[in-house]
Amino acid sequence: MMTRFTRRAGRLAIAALAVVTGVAGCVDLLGPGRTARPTLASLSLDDYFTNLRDSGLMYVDAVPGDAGFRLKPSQRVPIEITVSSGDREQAGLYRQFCPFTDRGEHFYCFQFVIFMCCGPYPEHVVTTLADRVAAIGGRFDLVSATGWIGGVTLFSPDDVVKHARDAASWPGVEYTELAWPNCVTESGGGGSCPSVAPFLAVPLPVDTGRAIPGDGIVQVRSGDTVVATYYQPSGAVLQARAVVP
Amino acid sequence: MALRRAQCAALGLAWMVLADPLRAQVCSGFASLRERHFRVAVGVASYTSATAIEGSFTAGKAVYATVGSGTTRNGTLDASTFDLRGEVGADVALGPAHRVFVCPAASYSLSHGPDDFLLTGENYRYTGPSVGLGLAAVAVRTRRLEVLVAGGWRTTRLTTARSGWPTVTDDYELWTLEAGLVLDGRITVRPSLSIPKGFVPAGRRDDYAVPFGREDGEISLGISIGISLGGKPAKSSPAQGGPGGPTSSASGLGPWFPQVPHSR
Repeated sequence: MMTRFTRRAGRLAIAALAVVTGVAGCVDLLGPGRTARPTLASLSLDDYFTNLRDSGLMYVDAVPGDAGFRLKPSQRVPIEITVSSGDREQAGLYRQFCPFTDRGEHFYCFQFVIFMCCGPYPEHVVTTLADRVAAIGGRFDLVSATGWIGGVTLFSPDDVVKHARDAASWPGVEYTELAWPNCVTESGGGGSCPSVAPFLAVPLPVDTGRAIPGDGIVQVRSGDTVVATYYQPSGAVLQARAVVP
Repeated sequence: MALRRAQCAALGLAWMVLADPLRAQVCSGFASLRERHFRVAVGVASYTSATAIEGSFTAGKAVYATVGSGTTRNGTLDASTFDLRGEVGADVALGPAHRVFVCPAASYSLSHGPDDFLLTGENYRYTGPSVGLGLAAVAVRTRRLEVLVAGGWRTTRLTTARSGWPTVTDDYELWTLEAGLVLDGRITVRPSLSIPKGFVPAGRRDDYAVPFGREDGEISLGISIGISLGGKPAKSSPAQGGPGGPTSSASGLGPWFPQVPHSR
């Protein structure tokens, strides 16, 4: 009895699997590839977040030429980072603002902000959490002069909201927030910011020292020139440069 | 890529083969409740940026009632809803041969959450009635196996309550296509796809008034497994093509999956 049932269930499962994989195959066929190559209007190293020093980071921004361009969640726009002292890294631009929809408010996909507790714990400064930030795959991008507020950049956009929520329970932390862009809509504030949807960005960790090409970390030395390069679909080259202080 | 094209071609061919001949019709991707009057089912659906899971219990005959509960989760946004749904529906046979069934159905859904959405402290609640129609056919019927093809349309009046914001109400549509594989009239495996349409346009101040986890026009895939309980199926009648004959329609649209309004 059990054997007969098992045989039937097995045949049924195979049939169901065939239908599901067939449908999935069709949907996938119509879906996006993993690499997108839009024509970019600009490529830049963000002055605000980029900090080319040891335990720093660089933040590459890009704006597609087509305001209607929307990167799919599985897609990346490939760029190349080269450093005059020898390092060379590949990176993939991602959406700068999440979620992957034009509706609702958008936050920076790679960043969140930590506010330290101030009342009974004035000795708490956000940099004491550097190890915890590193453990979740991030680094501080900006820290306020008092140390009360620290901006965190994660190098993967996965689980940014969860990490931000978890960080609220770290010692000395009063609360955390996602990083929201300043956006005023035609309806007068709030609502969504559709104009930010096409923007692209990717952060990379920066350290000083000997170049180790392909390790995912940009190694720099004082006086180096760091270049981000994108090859346009037309074959043209788009570059952004910065000199390491 | 060639493999994917082959999959598509095979799927299209299978669809054409399954659509003919129509020996009897049913109005659900699930097994008929004509002989077994109860069904428990679980299902999962994958959206562009969320996943929904639901369990349901259905009781009835030609007229049925379903209650279901589940959750919809967007892992990227670390946000979830808890969903409840109640539904009633019926089979209506068209023509003396009982070859086509139209199934009116009505449901009411409630989704609690997400709470503290995106760390803003804002909580969401979604409620709303739905009405719709389903159409289905038995594409293949053997002594042990039935293959059901079903489709449906429904319209939902979704009311979204967001703390600190005006409560807004908007209508949207949901189109569904299902294929039910029914073993011995008892176990159903049902792949499905659904397409929501007609969301409030993005960029408007009230553009949060959309079901959680769904995108306008996206094609989502789902799969459900149902077990029918109670009673025993009638003996097959060769003239009628299988258990219960041509009136052996399913209880209705069944738990259309997904049924509960969800938000972004």
